[in-house]
Amino acid sequence: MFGTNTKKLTSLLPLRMQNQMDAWFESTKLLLEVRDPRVLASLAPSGVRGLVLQRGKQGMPTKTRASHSAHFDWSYPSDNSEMRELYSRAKTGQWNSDTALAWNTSVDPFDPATPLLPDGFLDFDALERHGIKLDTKERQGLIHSVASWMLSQFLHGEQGALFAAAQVTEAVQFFDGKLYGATQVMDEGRHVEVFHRYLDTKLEKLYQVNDNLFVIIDALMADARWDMKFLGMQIMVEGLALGAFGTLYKQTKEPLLKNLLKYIIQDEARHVHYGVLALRDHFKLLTDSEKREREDWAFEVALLMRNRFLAYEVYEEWFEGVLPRDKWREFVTHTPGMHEFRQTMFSRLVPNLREIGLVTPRLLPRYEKVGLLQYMTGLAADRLDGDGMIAELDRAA
Amino acid sequence: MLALRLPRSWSSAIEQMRRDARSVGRRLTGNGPSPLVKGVTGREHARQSARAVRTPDTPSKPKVPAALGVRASDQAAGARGNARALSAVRVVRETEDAVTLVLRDLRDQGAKTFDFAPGQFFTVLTTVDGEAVPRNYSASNVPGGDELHLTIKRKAGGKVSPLLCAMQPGAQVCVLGPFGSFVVPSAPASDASARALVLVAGGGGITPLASIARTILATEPESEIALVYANRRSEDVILAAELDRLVVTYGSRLSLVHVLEEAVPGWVGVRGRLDRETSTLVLADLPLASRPGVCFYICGPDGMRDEVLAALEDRGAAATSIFIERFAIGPRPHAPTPHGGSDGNPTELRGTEAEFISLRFNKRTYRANVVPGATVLEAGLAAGAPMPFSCAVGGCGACRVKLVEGNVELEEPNCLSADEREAGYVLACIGRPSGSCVVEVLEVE
Repeated sequence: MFGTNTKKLTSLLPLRMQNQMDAWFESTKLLLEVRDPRVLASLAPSGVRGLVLQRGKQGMPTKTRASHSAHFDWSYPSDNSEMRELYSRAKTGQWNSDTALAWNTSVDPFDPATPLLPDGFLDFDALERHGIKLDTKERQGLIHSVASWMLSQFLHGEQGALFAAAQVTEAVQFFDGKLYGATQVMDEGRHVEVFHRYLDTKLEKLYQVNDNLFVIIDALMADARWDMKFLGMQIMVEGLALGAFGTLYKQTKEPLLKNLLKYIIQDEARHVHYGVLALRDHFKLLTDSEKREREDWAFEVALLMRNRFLAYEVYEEWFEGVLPRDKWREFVTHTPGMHEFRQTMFSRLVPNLREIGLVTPRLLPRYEKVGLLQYMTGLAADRLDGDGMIAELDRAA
Repeated sequence: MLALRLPRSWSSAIEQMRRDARSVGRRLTGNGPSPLVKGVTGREHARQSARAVRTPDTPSKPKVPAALGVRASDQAAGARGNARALSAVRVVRETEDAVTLVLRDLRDQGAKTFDFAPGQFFTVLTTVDGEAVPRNYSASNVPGGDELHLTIKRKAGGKVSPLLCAMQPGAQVCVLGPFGSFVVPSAPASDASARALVLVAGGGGITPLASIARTILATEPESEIALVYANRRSEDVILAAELDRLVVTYGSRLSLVHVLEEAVPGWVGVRGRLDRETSTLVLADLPLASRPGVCFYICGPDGMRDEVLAALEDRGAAATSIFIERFAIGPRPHAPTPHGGSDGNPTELRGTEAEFISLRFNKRTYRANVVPGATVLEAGLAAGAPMPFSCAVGGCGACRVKLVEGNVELEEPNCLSADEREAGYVLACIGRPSGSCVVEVLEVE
């Protein structure tokens, strides 16, 4: 629908306007592919706010209306031993970013001895094939931009996680879950602090929130259903973050960033585990119709997540006006570093979706079509802890 | 022409629609938002230099480390330590030499509420001869509304009170606060029905007690209050009409006893000065004063206060049931200062001599007297020092100052870290000098 004909239609426009049309067509296509009308109704308002109006990039704080109910229980039941244990572990796992991390480390993003990302992360030959030749300094600069962009998106995601964790703590039905949730709020606050400090004082760069990420955060904050917030934040956003942090941990040689990610991965492993614990049994109690809605919602959000990592903000910074947007999309999709990034991210996410029962035979063809089925055999978060994950990443590095 | 004023929620929605339209318009014309919030673009950076080494832990901005000094967000948040420019919407002439300024916060369209505990005071900053002069005045109304009532008595020869008493509606004043611990402790719900308070006021000392009486009577249906109010003449009675209204409204729950030194013929109330003897007689006539658990709140001139204290001592009133407010910060040996204890019960600190404190800020030194029980912050503000502060209860660290000489006792717990304590920092809002001392006020950008 938005293929060749669209290109012909917009080819007469200036390149910048062509890019804009490409962005809107891409967003519209994404939304029109949603098959479940309930999922479309739930995501469309956020889609308009994020993808069309770009509320996250208007240079003003964003106000999002929340409509969930706070769930009080005055009998203080001990209702989930696994969550209670997780709470106990979270209390002892707290760390102080001021003392745990060596903030006096001198970070030189351009030092070849301690690269933020490895040399082969971006395929510069592929860029040359698109007519763009970068010298050594420019290549280093682009790597610096990509690393800063990734960390900026992690930071924005952590801000979403901070607020969502607070909402989830209010809304969750398990009292042991509320106690655990309080530790997650603290964790997320610390993650916001360390990512921002690293970007602000070490890389000296901060990118705008990605439109796709904004849509996901906006949809989660506005949805009144506690299990949807859980699904979105604990499984999708946190699950993907876990994968993303793992990739970066494995690839970076910058010691402060590596250590920072090591601490954060330990926290994130708990967060995803919490989501799996809370939702695994809950989803068994849903009606078929309710469950189908959640299956579709998870799939659509997974697609948004995949698109979140197309790094259009870096494109706008470096190549807008000299390279068509669809060529950049092709470049980022196939460049080795980003390819591995997606592999690791979805290898963490998809098993968790399977574990809570949201990847059913009905959806397998759709997962296969978008290339996500290959990740189905991985370990879910309830089988992995932070230490195990770090050991696995160290072995792979 | 008819001026159409939209509800605030509509204005916000319309403003958001404008921003949305601008956003779409800019993108249509190929002028989308910058992808960066901070930093130079990669191309520009590559052109400038390939090496941008950060020195170890380069401070990002402030001279005062963010974790230790005033947080910008604290200052911007309208927390209670921040100065607010308030507009006088009414000026009520109470007596020949006293007015009530009815103040409202009219910034940003729409009134803001005033949250304080009844009995607390605000610091009014007035510019006199180019110098900001702070003076403390208690609120006399019920908290939580969109008005702040400061009742001010003109002091002969005073620098500030004559100016404030001459204020006209529409004028603005700069106000800090609320401050002070002369408040009624929150009672457990089970005890609220049994609360009995005896309030003793002299002259302008009525203001905090009026706020306490108005609030308690309005919010605790079972509580009872006796108010003893001493003045020289009937014309000097401040808030007279309001007190009469309270009596009519609350009937037997409020006993009002006026004591006049120069009563006109036919006066049926108590005559004379409120000295030890008169206080004894008045208190003996008040059934509420003998009620178990009764608390006494005293605010008035030094002489009156000491006489009432002596009478209470004669009656065997427990020190923990007596609360006292002073009129002004200044050297006042043996002045008792009440404070709420950590268990929520009032305790009394009986100090000895006023202490001297020097506050260094930049190259300037402010000298202040600190009466026993007063905090470094209260003394600093009274001396006109640019003291940073925000929560005023030791919870935010905004008022952190460095102790250079002497000793300052801190209420515990508070938010100071072990490292800050080790480095000699104290919190001005909950720090009380136990001798003469010197502190350095940190500069905040």
